Amino acid sequence: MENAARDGFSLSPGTSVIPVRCSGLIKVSFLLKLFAKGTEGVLVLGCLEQDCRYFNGSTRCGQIVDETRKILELAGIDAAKLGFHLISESQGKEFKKILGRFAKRVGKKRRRRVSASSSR
Amino acid sequence: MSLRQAVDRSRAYLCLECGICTGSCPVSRFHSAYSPRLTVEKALLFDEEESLRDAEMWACLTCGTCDIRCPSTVDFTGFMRSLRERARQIGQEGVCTHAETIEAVIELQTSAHYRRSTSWMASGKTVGKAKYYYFAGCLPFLDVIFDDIGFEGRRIGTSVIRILNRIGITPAVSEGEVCCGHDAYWTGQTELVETLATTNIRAIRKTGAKKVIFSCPECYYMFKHVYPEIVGDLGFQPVHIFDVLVPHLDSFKFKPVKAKVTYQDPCRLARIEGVIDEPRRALRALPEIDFVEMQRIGKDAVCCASSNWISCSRVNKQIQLDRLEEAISTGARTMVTACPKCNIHLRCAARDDECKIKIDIVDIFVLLADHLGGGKRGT
Amino acid sequence: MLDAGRHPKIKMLAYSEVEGVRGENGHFELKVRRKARYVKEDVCNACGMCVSKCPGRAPDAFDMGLRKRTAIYLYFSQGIPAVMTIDPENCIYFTKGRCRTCEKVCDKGAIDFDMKDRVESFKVNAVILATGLDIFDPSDLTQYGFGRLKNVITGLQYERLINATGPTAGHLYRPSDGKLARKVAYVQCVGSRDLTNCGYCSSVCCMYSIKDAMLAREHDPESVSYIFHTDLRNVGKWFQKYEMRAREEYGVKFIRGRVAQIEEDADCNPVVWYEDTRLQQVKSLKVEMVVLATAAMPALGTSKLARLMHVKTDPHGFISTRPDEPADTSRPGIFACGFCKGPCDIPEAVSQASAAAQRAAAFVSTGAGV
Repeated sequence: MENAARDGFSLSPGTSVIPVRCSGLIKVSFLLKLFAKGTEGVLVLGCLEQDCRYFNGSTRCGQIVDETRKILELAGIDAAKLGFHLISESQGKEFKKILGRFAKRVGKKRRRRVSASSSR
Repeated sequence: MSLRQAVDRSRAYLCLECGICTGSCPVSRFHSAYSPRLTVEKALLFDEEESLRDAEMWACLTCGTCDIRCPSTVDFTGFMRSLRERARQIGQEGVCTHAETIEAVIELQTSAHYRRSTSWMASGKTVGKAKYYYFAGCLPFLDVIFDDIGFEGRRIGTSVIRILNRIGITPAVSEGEVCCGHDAYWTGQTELVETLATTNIRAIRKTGAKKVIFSCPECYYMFKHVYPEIVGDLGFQPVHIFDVLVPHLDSFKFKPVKAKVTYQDPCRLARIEGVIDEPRRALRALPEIDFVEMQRIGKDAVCCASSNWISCSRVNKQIQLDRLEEAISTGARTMVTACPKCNIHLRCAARDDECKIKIDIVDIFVLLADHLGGGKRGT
Repeated sequence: MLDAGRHPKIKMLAYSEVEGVRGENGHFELKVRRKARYVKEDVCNACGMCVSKCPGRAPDAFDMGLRKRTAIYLYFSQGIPAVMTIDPENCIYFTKGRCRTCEKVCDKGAIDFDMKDRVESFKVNAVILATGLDIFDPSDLTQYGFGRLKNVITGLQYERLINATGPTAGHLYRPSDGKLARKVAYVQCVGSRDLTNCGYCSSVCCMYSIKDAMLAREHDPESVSYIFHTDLRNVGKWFQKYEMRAREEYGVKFIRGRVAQIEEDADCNPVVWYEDTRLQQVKSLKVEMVVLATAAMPALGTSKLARLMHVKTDPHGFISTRPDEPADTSRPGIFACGFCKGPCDIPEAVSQASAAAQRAAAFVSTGAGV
């Protein structure tokens, strides 16, 4: 994110960042509760799988996102509102692109959360 | 509710200190720090702070074994519920299991844009408006959450619908249905229960149903006993699927089941509703089935040891393993249950390394629906 | 009882049932159904020839179902009058239409298959109700497994087992395998002091269980007895001392805690689960036999009888009596004594009987009560 900021990127208003120690530690309940509170979209960002300090943190995160998406669908909420990407901290441009695409998909609605893992 | 009110309402003052509750308690058998008798005796000293500080209050499974055996008819589980409600008011909570996932699902269901999917029930015939309504409850959600232990909640729901279809009932279902609030009720979250109850009743009334069919004993319990206290007349009659199914058993032509099975009585169904014979009649209707009973059955059956998603400790595991051992000692290798929670909890324990001999946990409606023959439609 | 049976001024109508009462205030007319025994009371001398040949079988009610009796039977050996009775429900002749073996072997000619019930009327000036008790059926309390677990028996069954004239000639051979039971648990308050069943203390169980435990030790010095109790209610002169003797001289062990559940191991040994409330611990104890001290309640027909007699009963079904005159019912000229009016032990029932007889005599002699 710092890399993106250096390139002149800033978060749009209504977007907030929730730093977590490892994306694999995010709980299904945590994501669900964000949606329950009316959040329009949640983008989960984690480290590249080969970069994981805990071996399977990012893989675990993928499973958690899958489970959450299934529950969202059952609750009649579009699963696409939960985004999930694994990127490296050096991929500033990529980050900008992902965020832009996600914002577009979620729509003009304002409240968004970015959940980013930053182990380093 | 104050401690004094809780004592008065549950008639805890009638306690004889005879110890039948603690002797009957599945938790106390493995965990000496928890004792229903001592909890009541402590409460009778009316030291509210002391009573509420006791973290063991969340250990109660609300299985109701003590209630039905208490010679003084003390409503112990009701007392526990009041105590928990009071504890919540001062900011004390039990520790949610499964990383609060289930609590989060309930929270999601109370949010404004929630509309439950009904497409998973597509394999059976359902409609939007009908005389009968089928209340599936949390089955689809539990299916996702407990996918890792092979629990198939959606299959239970679709099996029930297939059975209903065979009887000639096309039930209504609704996108407005939410969790019944059973666990919120027993953990003292009164306001949440009221919200869920009114939402459900609004959704069901819209379908015009006069009879609401339940397969989950806990949902059935809530609609039958708790909802009328909250909203008065429901405008429809809650019925358990066994009441609908049993009269038709003879007209079904089941395929044979070549297995030795035993049956786990769910707390709400057996102990509170007294539905003990019906599931057994249903099982015996399956040709060639070798049905065997455990020692503790019916009203004396043992709880699956985790009834409100707030306790899952070593103690709970011990209760479950003890129960599985009892089932295995009958020679059965399949345990049939009629409650999704028994299914989940015993299934989890059966996968534990400490469970030496493997036993399958099967839902009774799945078993029945899978063995429906091609015979004629019942009358 | 034998004295009463022989008394010239006492007419005993056994095997009979009151069907109606008319009149009041010292002038009653009772309608009594005298049930057909199919045996002539004045001819039969209870020699037992018929019993030795009768092919019909039924559970023996006096032996609490522990053994079978024949279809023609003597209810119990000291019964008055000492005459045989045919039970038509289990008699081969009555059910299948042929047999009549008893008739053939009876050299007195006492058998009469054509006997019919007779309804007789009696004019009396006072009535004393003394219908006694029945025991609570413990199979309703499924946690104790009575009827399912073979070695769980009731106190009355135990009385028959330990009795020299009983089915095991006084040895504690347990029902499942006939082995001598040396480790016995006595469970108190089965159905009594229980608001969903009998919401009162039956008053006799603590004492008879202590007696039973002491008897077991007298029969077999190696036997060990455990009494699981709520509170010991030894209310009476010397009763406390009796309990102390049981503890000190007979080694009876008392455990405070109402039994929660009885399970069974692979050898049919009952396993008793309970909380020892003194130690505050949930424990289990494996024993060889369990004796349930079942609640005693007014005999089954008591409420029907009370309706016939127009006397009031209390919520437990006991005959109500006046607090100031404990033998008087709500209706003048009708008196009650013994367990039909409330829990009591034998000595108390005897003194109540004397009191009721006195009250009735006084009522009759003054014409219309005092």
